Amino acid sequence: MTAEAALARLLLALADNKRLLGIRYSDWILGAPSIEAGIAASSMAQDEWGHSRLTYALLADLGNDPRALEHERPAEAYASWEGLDAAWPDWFDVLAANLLFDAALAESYAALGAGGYGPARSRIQKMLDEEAYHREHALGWVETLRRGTAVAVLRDRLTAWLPAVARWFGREEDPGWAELRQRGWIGWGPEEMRARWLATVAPALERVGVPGVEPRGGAWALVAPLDWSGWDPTRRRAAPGGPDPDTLARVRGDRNRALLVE
Amino acid sequence: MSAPVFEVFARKERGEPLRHVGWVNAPNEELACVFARSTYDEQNWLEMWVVPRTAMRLALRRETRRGTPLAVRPPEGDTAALVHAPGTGAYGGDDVAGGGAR
Repeated sequence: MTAEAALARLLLALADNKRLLGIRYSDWILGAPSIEAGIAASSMAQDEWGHSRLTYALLADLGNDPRALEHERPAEAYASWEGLDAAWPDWFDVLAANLLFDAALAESYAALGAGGYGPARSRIQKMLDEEAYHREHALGWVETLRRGTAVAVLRDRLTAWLPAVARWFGREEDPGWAELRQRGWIGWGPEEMRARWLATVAPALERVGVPGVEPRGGAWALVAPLDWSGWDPTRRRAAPGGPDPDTLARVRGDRNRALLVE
Repeated sequence: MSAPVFEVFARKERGEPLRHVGWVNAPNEELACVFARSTYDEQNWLEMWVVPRTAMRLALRRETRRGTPLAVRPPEGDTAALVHAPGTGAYGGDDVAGGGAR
């Protein structure tokens, strides 16, 4: 694999997940716990869509057609995390995604921004600035819920999400990381991304009693080893399939194809 | 859940006075800051502040000659009209300052 192909693969995974995360946030713009919470979800959704658009555009520099990427791929071609395939049942999943997966994406962009690929570096700082607000949103909710009875639901949801989000970073031996590192296009690989991500989310997990993390050797670590069965390093997921039909139609704009402006 | 009310103030330029831009219902200060930003960030604010409405005190209210609700002096301790007219309930109207008004 060339470094260019490895970079395109990383960018596609970031763009697809940003696009899907925006859709999942948007599901709860109406029906959030309060008007303010819905507006915050709307704001985060807009950020994610903006970030995905910028990331798809980066793929154009590598010889890809962004329009085809955004509007014409089947579900199985999406390099999107399985937790985003279908609508979430309630606000607790919004918060679990906000605390865990949103932060995982931010750590990946940080690693890319710390590398030497100029077009990405120039765009990533603004994204990370906006992501800081997403993190404040997640931590604000954690602080709110940890004092009440709803903390048990949040704890269960975070416990369920934790291993799959931690796995999403992938493994050092997955194809492409060595090429990216050799070219100097990423600051660090998936193991360090995961470690940095744990450092940002583990204190909050501990505050609400999630049992999956523990301090070890001066850093935070996952208690249980990750399960790599079924892991597809290209699509960065362990489950087959992809976004469900309704999600795919919304992501691609299928029902409004006639209105698509060149 | 009727969350506390936080008044939102902002300014566009250094040296410009803070102006009242609205309010948010939020369970705590952390989320009040997040909600204030996402609700009122359409304009290019230099900075934005939130203040729990319970921290505000009525220092002065003059009677007017017009027949508006505010022309009627409220009972002692009732500061419900401090920022918004009373009776607006959870939509920014409760949790007013002044002590004993609720």
